[in-house]
Amino acid sequence: MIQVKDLKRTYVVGKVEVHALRGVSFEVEKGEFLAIMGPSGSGKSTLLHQLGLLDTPTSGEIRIAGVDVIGLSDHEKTIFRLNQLGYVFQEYAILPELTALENVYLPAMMRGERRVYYLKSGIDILETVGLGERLHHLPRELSGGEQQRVAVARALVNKPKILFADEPCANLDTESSRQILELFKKLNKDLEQTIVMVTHEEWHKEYMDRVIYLKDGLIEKM
Amino acid sequence: MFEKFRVSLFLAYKYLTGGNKGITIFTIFILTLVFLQLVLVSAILGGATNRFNELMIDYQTGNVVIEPEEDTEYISDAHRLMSKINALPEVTGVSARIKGVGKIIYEDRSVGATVIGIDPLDENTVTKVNSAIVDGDFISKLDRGEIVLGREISGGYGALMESKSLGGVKVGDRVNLRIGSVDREFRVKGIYTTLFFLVDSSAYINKKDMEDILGVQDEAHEIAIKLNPGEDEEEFRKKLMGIGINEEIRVWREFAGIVELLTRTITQIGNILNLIGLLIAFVIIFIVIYINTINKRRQIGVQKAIGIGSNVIVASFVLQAIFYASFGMFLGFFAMQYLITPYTVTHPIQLPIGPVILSLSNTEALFRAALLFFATILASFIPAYKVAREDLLKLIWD
Ligand SMILES: Nc1ncnc2c1ncn2[C@@H]1O[C@H](COP(=O)(O)OP(=O)(O)OP(=O)(O)O)[C@@H](O)[C@H]1O
Ligand SMILES: [Mg+2]
Repeated sequence: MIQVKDLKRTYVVGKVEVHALRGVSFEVEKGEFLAIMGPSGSGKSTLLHQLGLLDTPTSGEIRIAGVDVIGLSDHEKTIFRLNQLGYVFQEYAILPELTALENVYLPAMMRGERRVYYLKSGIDILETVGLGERLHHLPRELSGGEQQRVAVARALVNKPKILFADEPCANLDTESSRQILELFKKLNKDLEQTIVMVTHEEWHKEYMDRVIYLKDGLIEKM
Repeated sequence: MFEKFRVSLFLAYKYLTGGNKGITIFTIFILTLVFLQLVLVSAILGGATNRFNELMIDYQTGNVVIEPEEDTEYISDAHRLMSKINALPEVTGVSARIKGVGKIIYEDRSVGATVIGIDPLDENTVTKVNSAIVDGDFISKLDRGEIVLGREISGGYGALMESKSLGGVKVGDRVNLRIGSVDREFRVKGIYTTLFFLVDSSAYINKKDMEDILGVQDEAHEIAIKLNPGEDEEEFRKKLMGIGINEEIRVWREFAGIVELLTRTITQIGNILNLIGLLIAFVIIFIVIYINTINKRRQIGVQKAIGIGSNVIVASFVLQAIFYASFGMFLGFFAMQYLITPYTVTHPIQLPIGPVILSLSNTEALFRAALLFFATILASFIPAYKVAREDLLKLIWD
């Protein structure tokens, strides 16, 4: 599903070069639930940004579902993100003026789906994440865990090939974290959803198929 | 295309309903005022033009004027022509006039003036000069040797061109009228003013007196015709031509050249003022949308990350601004047409040409609305475009 070859990302801050990724290569199979772990500053988020087409690597290759995504134009990347990828951020990155349901169906609406369809997919997916009773709540009326589940639902609404999540549980208590992880596990099992998730909690490992450890921008072990 | 527009519209709607109500109300209020400022000059101008036109029709030309054929000085057989016109159903009144251009002399002062010889019974069916008398009386049928002066000739009564006038002639004073080589003494019977200097620069005498001075009979320089309310002057002109009237037929509008000139002058001043209004609207919209984009940086980044295109994001802000402007324009238009203008019907604005009722034409309103609309689009597009082009990770994390 994903092939990464010698991926490098160097940030230039003033005159200083920060080598966030220094040549990372690995593959992710379809239906895998992969964790990326490592100490703070090791390049986990940077890696996920490259895979999620939110950033452009300095060098290296990324193929997703057979597509050389680095060669895509900005516009093509936007469409690729919309149709093929789902992304969950660490903080609840849902839009504050939109209800849970509206947040979730926005990407489906953007795809040009008809209203009946995007409403239905929105409600279905919110029920899947256990928020069938919270459809018309605004983000401020939801708990942190519920907001994060809305974000997950939004990432899934267009049935992405891969779901990316960057420390989705970082701001949640253990109970809410478990809910999210159970949800991911279920999606992975029932729907064969490919998931790549960044975390630094060792106990999360029990949910995943495989872990890639990063250190100083390189793969330490996998 | 429509799918994208639908998303922009949806986001704009959400920003408006979910956003700060105070800012929304404030912005709309300002844009309402700007729109009012944009149309006010047009409305005053429209009202003033209406007033000018009314004055022209009511006090000078009537609706239609018949003038002699080219290269002839008089309409001959004026009486027969008058009866013919009077018989038409559209006609309220007809007045044949003989005009003499000459000098009116009082003591050591004199003014050049057009003196109009009229049959008062006829003239009163066409114009209302008899009701504009401020002192004394209008000429009556049997009066001979009596003259009625406009205030710009007599002076006094608030005349605008006092220094060119006779400097304060009173009713009962005697003035001399010199036309060509004829010099006659007249007693001032009345003084009138319509407040419109063009109309107030004439003088009226009995047609018989003028015929004596000029040595003519049953001839006229012009025949003024007043039509029933609502009759179309152009149609009537065609009708007159149809019944074999060969004289020049002119509608009152053709005499309103100077009004046209004044109108154009004021319009141009109005346009300059409009520019300031548009600039204010531009700045307000720019600031509101700019602040909005700053507050929503993270959101915009997230939108981009989940696959919402930058053009959709830009359009969502432009649509939001368009809503502000449309609502402001709607309120402004409504206030103008249904509150302010009706108010001036009962409480006219007192201008030097007299009481003016505001009048805003829909074309004018539409034109100003279009200007404001384009200013709005530009003012919202610039900050929205700038932010939507930024790198999405910067938008999310900075
Ligand atoms: N936009 C940027 N500009 C400059 N340097 C950056 C930028 N983003 C990340 N870095 C640097 O790259 C390195 C890797 O950062 P990254 O965010 O990927 O770490 P991380 O593994 O996600 O850490 P954490 O667990 O704290 O989230 C760090 O040294 C960081 O300071
Ligand atoms: Mg990170």
